Amino acid sequence: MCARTDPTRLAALAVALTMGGDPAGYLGSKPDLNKSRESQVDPHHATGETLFDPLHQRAISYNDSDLSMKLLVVGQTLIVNVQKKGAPSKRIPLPSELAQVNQILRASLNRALVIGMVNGDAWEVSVLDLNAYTVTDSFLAYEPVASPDGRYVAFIKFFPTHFAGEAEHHYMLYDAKLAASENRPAGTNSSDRVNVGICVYPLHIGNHDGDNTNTDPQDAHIMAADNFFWSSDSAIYSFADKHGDIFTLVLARVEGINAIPVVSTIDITKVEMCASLHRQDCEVHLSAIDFAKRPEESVHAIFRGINVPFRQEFQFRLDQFATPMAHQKENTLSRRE
Amino acid sequence: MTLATTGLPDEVVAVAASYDQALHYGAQTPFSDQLAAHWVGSQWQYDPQHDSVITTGNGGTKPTQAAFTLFYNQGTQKYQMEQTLQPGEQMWVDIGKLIRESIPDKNGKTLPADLTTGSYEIRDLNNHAIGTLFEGKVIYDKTYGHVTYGCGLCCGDKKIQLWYDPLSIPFADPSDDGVNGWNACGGFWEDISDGFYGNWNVVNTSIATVDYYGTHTGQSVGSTTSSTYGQFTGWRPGTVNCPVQGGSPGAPVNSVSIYITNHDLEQNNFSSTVDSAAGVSGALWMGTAGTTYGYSVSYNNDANVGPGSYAVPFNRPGLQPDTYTTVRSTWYVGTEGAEPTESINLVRDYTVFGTVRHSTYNTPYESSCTANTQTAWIFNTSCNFTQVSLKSDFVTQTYINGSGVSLNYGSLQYNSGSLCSGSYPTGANTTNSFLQVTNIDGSCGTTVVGGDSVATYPNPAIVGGTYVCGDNILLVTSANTNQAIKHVADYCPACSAGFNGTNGHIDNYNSSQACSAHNLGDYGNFWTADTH
Repeated sequence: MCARTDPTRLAALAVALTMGGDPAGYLGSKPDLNKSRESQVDPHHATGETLFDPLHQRAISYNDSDLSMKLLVVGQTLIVNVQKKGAPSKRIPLPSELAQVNQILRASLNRALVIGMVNGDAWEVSVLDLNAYTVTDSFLAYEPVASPDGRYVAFIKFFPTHFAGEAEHHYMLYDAKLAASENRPAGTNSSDRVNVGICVYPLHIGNHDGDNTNTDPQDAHIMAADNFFWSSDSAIYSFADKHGDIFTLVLARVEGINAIPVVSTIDITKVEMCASLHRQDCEVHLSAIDFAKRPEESVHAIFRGINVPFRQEFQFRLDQFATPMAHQKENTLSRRE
Repeated sequence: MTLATTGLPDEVVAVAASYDQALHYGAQTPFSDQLAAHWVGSQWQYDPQHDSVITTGNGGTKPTQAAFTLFYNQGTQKYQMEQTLQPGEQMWVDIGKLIRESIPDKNGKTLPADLTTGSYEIRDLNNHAIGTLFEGKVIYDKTYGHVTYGCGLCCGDKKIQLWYDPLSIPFADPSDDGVNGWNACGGFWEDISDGFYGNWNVVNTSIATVDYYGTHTGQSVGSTTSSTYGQFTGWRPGTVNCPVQGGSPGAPVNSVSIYITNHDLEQNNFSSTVDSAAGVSGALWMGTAGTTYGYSVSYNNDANVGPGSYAVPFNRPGLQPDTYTTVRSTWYVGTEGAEPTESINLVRDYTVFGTVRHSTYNTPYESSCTANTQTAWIFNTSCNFTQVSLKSDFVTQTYINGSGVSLNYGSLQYNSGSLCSGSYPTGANTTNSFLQVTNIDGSCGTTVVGGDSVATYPNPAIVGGTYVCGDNILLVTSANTNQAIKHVADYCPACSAGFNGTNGHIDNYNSSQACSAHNLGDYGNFWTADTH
């Protein structure tokens, strides 16, 4: 698996900052103890915008010099209205289970990506053919993030939101430049909405039916990042994984190697990550990352505490990342069989 | 030999001196019979022509611990030594030797090799009120025979007072008091309680008692007066002498009671009852302490309150994410450091997560679905599969959500294939084949209840995680009102992500029978705590 990192190099590179403190004493409002029933939601007193609110679908659209796409809501049906320059507008109905659209963007080869949610946990990605005005592919996912150029979608492989036993996160990559069948393992039906894409991490996993459920919770890989983070040129993306007491910062390069990512990793132990926290329940997420512009530059990663105000920054030279080479063969998609 | 003078005391100091025949090499030291607990010296010298040997001795009748400190670099650096001195024993400090041989002090620190001058201090660590140390110093001059040296000055106290005025003591609890002296040299209060041991007295012993060392114990609620008497090393302006003086400081004692009568985070009910003699008042504060953070809040914006019962609700969204283990109440009716306080260790800790995203999930009912039917399979724990027709949108939603209630086959749950692996008929797979169940049970083994059950990550059914099955989950709005109190019953594997900028993600089970989630938006983002 991953090469372990020399712990001593982190000491010089890590910059820790613990925030927060004892708040000044002041009186709170008198509590309303009657508000305990499910229906008494006061959105004005909830904090921040909700992520999933299909009854108040936000206006979603895409515009460039020769293409305009806009979300339409007709009853419970979500439709993308496509307006190509010099052509009449046409409508593409989205899959019926899609309850909310979060993003529409243009993809490669006159295609478009629609990223939305089927419920408060699960997401769905649809690929639109802007020539045929149809949905050519659709798959379920968690935390999907499209590359800036719209070609790729990084996501966590889907598992049922509940009653699926222990699940682990498999970090997948979908290439919108390829056909639906080419984005699935050999022998998999193109209508399969779960076993989709290439598994980028963990290494040597592949992509098989049910391979991410009924796992040993002590040995499960779980995302330790707020998101997938893409570089502006869509050539590289990053995320963090937690496996036991090891946080792994993963860099995946997709440029120039037949779209199969080259993965490099660096491990950070829980002790290194949480040295300044003095707590046992140290849970952190990668919250931001700056990518190197040139090979000699460094990657700057910022982790934040999940359940404690905490911030830990790391700076790594690219040559500190280990690059496992055995990864590519085991993730070969059907198109290469 | 007798020398008479009409000058003021200490204007003439006797000095012992010795010189070689050419008067080039000489040594001098002043005479003094002063005993003190604290000495300061203004100058010592060390260079190729000079050396300083500073001595201190125990002039008392018992062993004592002497602390010797050299100050240098304008007093910013110090070199510290300690030594136990038997009665009559002396401690000799050759500063030149310390520098030349780089001898480390008690902290391992050495003096710089180029150090030439500085000041010093000697303290009696065992006897603070009446010290037993005398000081002496010899300075050598190898060149001119004439010696310049700084006198060692004893440092007495200008004035004395009790530690606390008034002293407030919690009823039935001990509370220490003592005597401070204002040090004439340093300009600070120092503890000289040892000179007043054994002489403490309380006027009304039915309210408070006091022991040999000044530890007071409240006997009943009320006010009285406490005092002691004793001797200490005083101070006389313009002289090097520190006369022994007597004093009898006293101050009021308030014996008060303080009880935390409620500490309920879920109902935000924090209250205390305080009692004392009439006229006693002070600010009442309550708070809670966590592993890293603390929180405290006052009654009525820090207003002074007298005896009575007071509710001090918390501004719960102000509690930082942490695990809080104690609740504390303090009535500020005394001087700082002796405030009556009650502290309670929580039986059920407050695990505060801060603002958490609360999504919702449900069990879709086939009766609410509208699509045409498709082929599907249902099976039981004996792995008997039956091919059936279910509405296709119901099949999709049952797979996505992990559970569903069919029109004709009762409750169904997703199974990963682990239960009947190898028994799936042709065409059956985990996305179209569901296990028949009696109830929709969460990972905790209990039936999930709409509006009450929540699903968490990590799995609450696994021992050692953040959550435990049955834990109370408190949701509070930004206005500090209760949104809900729910209970942990299920596992949400997707809840390790999808925070949407908050500190976490909890999935709330909803009793809706809707086929899809089009009408099931997030519950909201709320300040959240696990109150166990």
